[in-house]
Amino acid sequence: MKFGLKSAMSNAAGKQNKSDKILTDTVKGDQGSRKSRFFHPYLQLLISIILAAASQIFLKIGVDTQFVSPWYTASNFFSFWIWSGIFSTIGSLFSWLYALKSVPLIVAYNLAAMNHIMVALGSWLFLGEAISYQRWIGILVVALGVLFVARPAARAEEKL
Amino acid sequence: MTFFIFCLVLFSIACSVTGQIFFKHAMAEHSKSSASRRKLDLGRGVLAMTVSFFTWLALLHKFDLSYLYPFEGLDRVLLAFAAWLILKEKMSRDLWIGLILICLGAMFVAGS
Repeated sequence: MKFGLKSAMSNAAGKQNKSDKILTDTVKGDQGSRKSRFFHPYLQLLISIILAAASQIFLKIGVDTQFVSPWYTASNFFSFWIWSGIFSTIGSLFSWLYALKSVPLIVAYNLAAMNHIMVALGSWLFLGEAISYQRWIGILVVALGVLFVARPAARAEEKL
Repeated sequence: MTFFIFCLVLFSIACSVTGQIFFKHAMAEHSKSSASRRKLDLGRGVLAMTVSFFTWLALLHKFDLSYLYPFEGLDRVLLAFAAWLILKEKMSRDLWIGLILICLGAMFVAGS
């Protein structure tokens, strides 16, 4: 019992040391290590998913607030929100491609199912859309379906 | 949702899937296609994406985002259909379940 406690304590001490080391490493960490952390593939994947959802919301805001009726009106081409949406889409695409260099396609495709939930939450929170129970159920069912097809879709995408 | 609107949504999604595949071909690291072929693929990808983007904007102008976005899940259905048609891939059980769920969910959303 005592031994157990002691070993546990020494273990904890060891962990403490280790975490200290990590902490100091983080503090000391130069530009390079911070950069590498930002370019962590899973972080990039997360950024990509968030940007993809954000771009949809930006586009919707842009179309709702800054769009003037004939589509070729000059001001439409300088809409701040629509350009934000376009740049978010491009950013999302790049971080997606970057992440795919090291994250397996299947994992990425599984995580992409989150998009449906995030866009729904976003349009409820930020756009104030009223989402009925039936629509929520539909969205969840679609997300579940996307999870199911992740593996075959990833395979198809690799080959096409 | 009328049939016409549904076709527009499907058209927008199909263009976006096509664009993604062209992009992939243009940027693939290990491919034997020539530089001019890559440029052509890139151009086609940009064209398909642009068409998809403007169709999507027009749709967003008329409908709620939470109403339209779930249909984006249909891109997997199109992809699977293309793989079945072009690559003669077999449909696995998971694929069937997923495709049915996506279509079911889309129908629920369409009726809401």
